[in-house]
Amino acid sequence: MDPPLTNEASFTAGFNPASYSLVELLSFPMGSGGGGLGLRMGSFGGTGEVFRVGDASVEESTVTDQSGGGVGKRRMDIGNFHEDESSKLVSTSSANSDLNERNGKRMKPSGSIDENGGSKTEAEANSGTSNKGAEEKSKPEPPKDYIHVRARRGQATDSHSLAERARREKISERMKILQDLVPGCNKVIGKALVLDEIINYIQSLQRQVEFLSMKLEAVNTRLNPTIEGFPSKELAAPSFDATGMIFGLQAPREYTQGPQVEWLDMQIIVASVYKRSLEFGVSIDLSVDLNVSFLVGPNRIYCTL
Amino acid sequence: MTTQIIPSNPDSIKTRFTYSFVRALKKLNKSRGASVSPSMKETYRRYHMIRVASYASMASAVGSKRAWSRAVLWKIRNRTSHRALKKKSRIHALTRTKVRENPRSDLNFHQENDLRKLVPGGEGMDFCRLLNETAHYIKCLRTQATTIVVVWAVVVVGVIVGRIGDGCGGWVEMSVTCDK
Repeated sequence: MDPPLTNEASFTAGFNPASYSLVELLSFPMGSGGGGLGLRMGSFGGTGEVFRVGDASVEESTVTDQSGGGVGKRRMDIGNFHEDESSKLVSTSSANSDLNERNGKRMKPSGSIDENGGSKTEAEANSGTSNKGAEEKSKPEPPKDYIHVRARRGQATDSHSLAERARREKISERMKILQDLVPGCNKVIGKALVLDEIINYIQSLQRQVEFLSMKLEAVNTRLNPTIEGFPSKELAAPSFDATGMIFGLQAPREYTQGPQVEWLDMQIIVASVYKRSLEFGVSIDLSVDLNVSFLVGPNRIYCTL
Repeated sequence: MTTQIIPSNPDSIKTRFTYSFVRALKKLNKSRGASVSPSMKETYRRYHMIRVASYASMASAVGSKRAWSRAVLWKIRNRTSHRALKKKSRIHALTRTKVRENPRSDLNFHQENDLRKLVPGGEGMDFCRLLNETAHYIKCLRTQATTIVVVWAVVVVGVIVGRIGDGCGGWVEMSVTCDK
């Protein structure tokens, strides 16, 4: 029995019972036996909120709950119900509260009052092991739908603002990821400007794709007559040796042959580009004889023959 | 002569995109009419087809687990198959977006709406989810652009190899400058 800080004692004492008592109350109308916590969390929006409230100090949470509607009333009842018990539960370390919470939930299906006692003893047993700061409470985050948010001093603790804060944190996290993705976006400060940058970048990428497909179309049309002019059997037999030999002699025919070979082997070549995975500075050997190599930059491509 | 080279990561989106895009290009080439000098309209149609092919192959390479790829595929399918349904669905989509204005958007940036319009399927999405999808979409667009550049280069080199032949010792510069 460590003598914990008064703050901790107050809210953890309120918190633990609140968790399982709530669960009990909710489980009775539901009548569902087994099933994970996730189910219940999903079906009841209220439970998550209550747990979040439980993170904060009890006094405040009950006050805010009173101001709420019907659901709030129910919660308030729970709170009252627990304040009786909280006197018994004096020493529980805040670090264990998550664990207790889980235990309470797991035990819930059996749904008996004895359970309360059981989990309480557990909580007491756990209390001896670790007496860490309240900040660590959010550390062992369970992989569930709800998020533990810890309210700092002076921050609002009602469920809505807590949820809102969680959402904002999530958004800023995603924004950070996006900032890393978009070049030159790291130095930009301010959400609106970052979003502007992102939008510009996406637009430029889309335009680039359009532009490139236009280019590709132009090349394709140039390729068009040559491919049609030849029967497929000749297409099927591309020999780089032959083209290499012919090159100096007949320019027009090579013009017709080169593309065919290209089209046939495009798949392989492109694959080879990726195999080397040099997006900037690709060198491809089209064949041994021709020895064409690329240097693909962001804006231009060099190729040597 | 050329050895069959197995791509290093056959399951990657890049590889899948490349394969399906090249296949689509081949198909487009085959189905092309015998017109020697294509009209402006025809050219535009082909360009459009290539663009659609690139988007479709990207979306199908990504698969159906992403909202934006689903939206792209849905859009393409509806456009090509039934026009009537497209009109109807457009009206429907308009009304739907109006109804489903995100009520929780506390950051009332007009940028958010712009972003929704840019990312396919972005309407009626939670803002968090929208950002997630945007990140993935950006990655995929980048891959798409790079791959198209490479495919284009390969084709062009085919042409150049045919045209110039020997006697070309230095670097041939092909600029793909993208004016914004």
